[in-house]
Amino acid sequence: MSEKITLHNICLHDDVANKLYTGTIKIVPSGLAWRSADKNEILTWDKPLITGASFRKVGNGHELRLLTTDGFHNFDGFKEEDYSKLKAHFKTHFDLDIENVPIATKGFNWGDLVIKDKFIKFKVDNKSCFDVPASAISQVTLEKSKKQELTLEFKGSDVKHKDEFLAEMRFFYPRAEEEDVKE
Amino acid sequence: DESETRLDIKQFTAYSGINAMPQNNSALKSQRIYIDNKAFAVMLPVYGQSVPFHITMVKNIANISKTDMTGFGTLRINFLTPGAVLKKDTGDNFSFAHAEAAWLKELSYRSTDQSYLDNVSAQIKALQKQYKQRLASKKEKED
Repeated sequence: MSEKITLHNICLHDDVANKLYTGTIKIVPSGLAWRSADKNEILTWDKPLITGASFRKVGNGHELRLLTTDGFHNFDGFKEEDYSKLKAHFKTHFDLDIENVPIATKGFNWGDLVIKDKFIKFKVDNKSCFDVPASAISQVTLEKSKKQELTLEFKGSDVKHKDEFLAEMRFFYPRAEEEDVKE
Repeated sequence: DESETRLDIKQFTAYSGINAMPQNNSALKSQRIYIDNKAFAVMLPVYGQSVPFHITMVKNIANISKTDMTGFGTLRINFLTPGAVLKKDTGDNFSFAHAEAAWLKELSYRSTDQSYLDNVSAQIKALQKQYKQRLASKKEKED
């Protein structure tokens, strides 16, 4: 088995700013590093800092989410066939399983809200529809009285972005009597 | 007659699976909104994911124009929720959703580029119209 995985055109996704930065990822037995294409930024995580990982299909190919002691990091631009390589490396060297997360494709808007690993996850048919990182939320409003609505407002939505920027998200719980949603 | 139209779950499935989704699409690659006229789907970026919604789920669009004060426009996409459906239809069209389900009701996007938001809004509205026409002509054939 190869001891080193190097892949180019892997974008680091800045979730709060919703920006993608192109670069190269390098995974070795002692850890993982990502270097921006302009070489101005190098991020590294030694093996003990890596606590988990998952893999899913996203708009731009596939994404590896790295859970670390300092939070999470999403890398975009993998190919489907990279999964088996990554899975083997993480298992052998980091003793971690990478879950290949099934995603919802049907286009429905009802499902389940789950809070896990500091993400608010919306699942449709038990498949991942989308994840909202708790760190990106600026305000949570829960209206129990008559509308049974949960509103999430996002950081950076008051900044002037040219590309569309997700500012707010609202959920409706027709049957909710007691929901405890906290950041 | 609208109240007689029964929604069939299969008829408003955007993509049957991953392989049916758009590939190598530049809008999706750069995390932008994408309207897929062929699949009657709207793909909306949510924290790294391009999330598909069948056009049936889009109830309406509010396009709040940019002002000098805000400096950005807001495109609010409102989705169908049980309350809204039950008003229009008599039946239990959404009974296939489990009782404890949470419904995504709204996604709002902001941009300083008002003409871009206007364009997206027009495209979604056009797709809604196109889909309604398709349903109507299908019904006509069945009758």
